[in-house]
Amino acid sequence: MTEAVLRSVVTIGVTLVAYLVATRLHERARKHPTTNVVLVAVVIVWALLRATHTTYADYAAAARPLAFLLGPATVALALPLHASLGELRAATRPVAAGVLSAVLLATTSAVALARAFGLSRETVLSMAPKTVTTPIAMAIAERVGGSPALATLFVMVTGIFGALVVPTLFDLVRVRDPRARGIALGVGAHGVGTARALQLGGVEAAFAALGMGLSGVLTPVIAPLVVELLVR
Amino acid sequence: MVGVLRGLVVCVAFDVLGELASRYLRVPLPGPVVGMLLLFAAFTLWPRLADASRAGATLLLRHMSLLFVPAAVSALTALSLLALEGARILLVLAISTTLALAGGALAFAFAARRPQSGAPPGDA
Repeated sequence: MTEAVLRSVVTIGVTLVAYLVATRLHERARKHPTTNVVLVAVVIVWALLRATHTTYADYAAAARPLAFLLGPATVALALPLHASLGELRAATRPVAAGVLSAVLLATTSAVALARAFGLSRETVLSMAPKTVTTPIAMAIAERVGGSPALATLFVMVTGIFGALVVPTLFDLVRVRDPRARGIALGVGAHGVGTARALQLGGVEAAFAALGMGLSGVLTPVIAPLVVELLVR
Repeated sequence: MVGVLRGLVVCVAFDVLGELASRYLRVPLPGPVVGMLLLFAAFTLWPRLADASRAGATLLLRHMSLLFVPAAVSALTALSLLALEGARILLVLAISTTLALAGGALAFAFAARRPQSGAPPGDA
């Protein structure tokens, strides 16, 4: 084995172990959103990189085969989307209204607030795709001139925050319809929100998957337009 | 095992298809999204393909978090930027996410309360 291949094998192995430990912890903590699997796994990997004096760039290069699978995983979202086709047909208008409002609110408020708070141009541009699932957010950020690394960070924070505030937030605005809750979670907090929806119920989960998929289609169209309109 | 592999191959193949379409047909969407749409269309045309792909696709979906780890570790390089803007960034993300969650849920509930077109407006 060449050294590069060996490094990749070790890196992926270490990442897998960190993921398994994080998953176990998440289950022990009864899936509390603060023990988010990605968050905990990252902290473990970070500590190991610190201890072995490895740079983030070296780690990322060695772990690339894992990141390559994110594309096929995004494609796999076609499955829950297909499974909820019947429910989608029965609620076309509410789904369209919910998804469109959430995508528009998320992108415009993020970009407008970031500008109003005087954040740097790179930060503002990387904010636009923050509600969409990571691989898509990275692609959008790159397209509008932001930073894929920053976008990933914002996506993670958004997902974990969203999973933390529900269902309290839904009770506060008096939305009890599980379909509405699911759609909002899938669009507003992507994969992390969809995982949270799975804990709330089956209907919530199906509509979250649907919302995440539709937002994955809509956000790449809407985000560049919002950036065009709000950032000069 | 063979069933899992079959689903994985389908997802990888449609990812490549989507990537090619996005790049060479100038579809203004990221490759994986185009791949997802193509696979969704294929599932609708041939429901048996959905059954054949189920095990592999489910495996990918269940462990999606693992695939996020390298990207999230790379995101740590951006943490130095947060030293300067961190508090404001967190505030923007919190407000914006709250608006999207509440607004999306309210819009859905509002639209669901109204009867579908044609029927006279009824009681909520």
